[in-house]
Amino acid sequence: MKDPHVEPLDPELAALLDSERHAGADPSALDRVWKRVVLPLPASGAAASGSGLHRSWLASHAVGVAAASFVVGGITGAGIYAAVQKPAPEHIVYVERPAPVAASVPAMSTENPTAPPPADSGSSAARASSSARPSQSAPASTLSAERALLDQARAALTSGDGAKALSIAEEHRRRFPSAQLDEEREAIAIQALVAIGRYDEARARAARFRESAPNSLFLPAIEASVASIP
Amino acid sequence: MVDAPRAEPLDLRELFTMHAPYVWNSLRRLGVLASDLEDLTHDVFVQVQRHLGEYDASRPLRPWLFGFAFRIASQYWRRAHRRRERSADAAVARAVDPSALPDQRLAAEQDRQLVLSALEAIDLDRRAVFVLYEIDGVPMAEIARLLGIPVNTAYSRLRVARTEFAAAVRRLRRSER
Repeated sequence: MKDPHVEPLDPELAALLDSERHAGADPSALDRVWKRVVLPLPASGAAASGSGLHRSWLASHAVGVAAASFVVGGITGAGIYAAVQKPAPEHIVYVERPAPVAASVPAMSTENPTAPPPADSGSSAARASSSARPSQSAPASTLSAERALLDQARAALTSGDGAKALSIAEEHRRRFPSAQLDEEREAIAIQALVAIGRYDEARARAARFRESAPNSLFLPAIEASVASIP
Repeated sequence: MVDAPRAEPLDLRELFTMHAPYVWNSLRRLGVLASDLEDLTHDVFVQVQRHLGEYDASRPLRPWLFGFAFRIASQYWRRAHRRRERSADAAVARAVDPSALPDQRLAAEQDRQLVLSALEAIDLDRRAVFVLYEIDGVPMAEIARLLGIPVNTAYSRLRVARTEFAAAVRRLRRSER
């Protein structure tokens, strides 16, 4: 990457930045993040999806995996830690290509961190206009509040308190009518309904979910939960 | 790593497997505290999941992901209490235990901590340009497009950020002696 309009960086600073370019990430932390993104509960029927991630992750980071690596259930983060001690550099190599006729790379407005990326018309005026358009979704602070509430619901469900989990899920629905984590909430609520024996409601809610979000990453967990109804 | 255009639709699991470390480190570079990285990485991928269908496969993927990280990090820093906590927490988070690492890794880790500390001297908007260009190797035209700014503004931000970064490195090194 050389830009004729940019002077070469001081070599000492460039070496420092090269070191940062090779920074890794704690795989056990990423493992937890992934589970929160796609799995309402660690022990849900969708755990197989998580395992799929681990397999994929191992496949791409497997060099040097120690014999001490182990898998307990779906949790492999600690076991694969050694595999990512020397992660591949993140540096991107660009291949020049013609600009698309209608590029739609998002112009980033920090005013609305979670708004859908606006289309880029190619003019700075249009960019300024599009990046300043009103929010269509909740800000990140709301997302944080949603996350915190659903973490409580998840914890209640994990501890066997389905009624409390359902109550918190319903609170989430009331507080966040345009929720960003609505699919996660529904997955928790349906599993809570199953847990407390309200099977007909669980089936009905699962059917609505299946219809409204047929490609949801949470659907396998919901299907597994409904399938477990005696 | 070649960040080539994609022919098939994005798959979230594949995306996460391949790029979660990049998102994680982008958030670090944008000043997110270690204790908040899991939450904010989660938030980024929740947003990514919602906008998967909007990704333009003719464009490089990582700057697109960086855009989500940048917006989430920007909102994060707007919260006043975060800013107040920042200095003290950052100092703790930056500490490297010299007994925990072999010499070579220790040196690399100390360099990384120096970079992160120096990045904190740079305003977030300029830091985004600096990180994208100097660490991620994103062309300036792409950066300008991503941030929705004129390309000359992007160059200007890079120049200032470089000066600030170099000064911060000098200052931090002096304070280590």
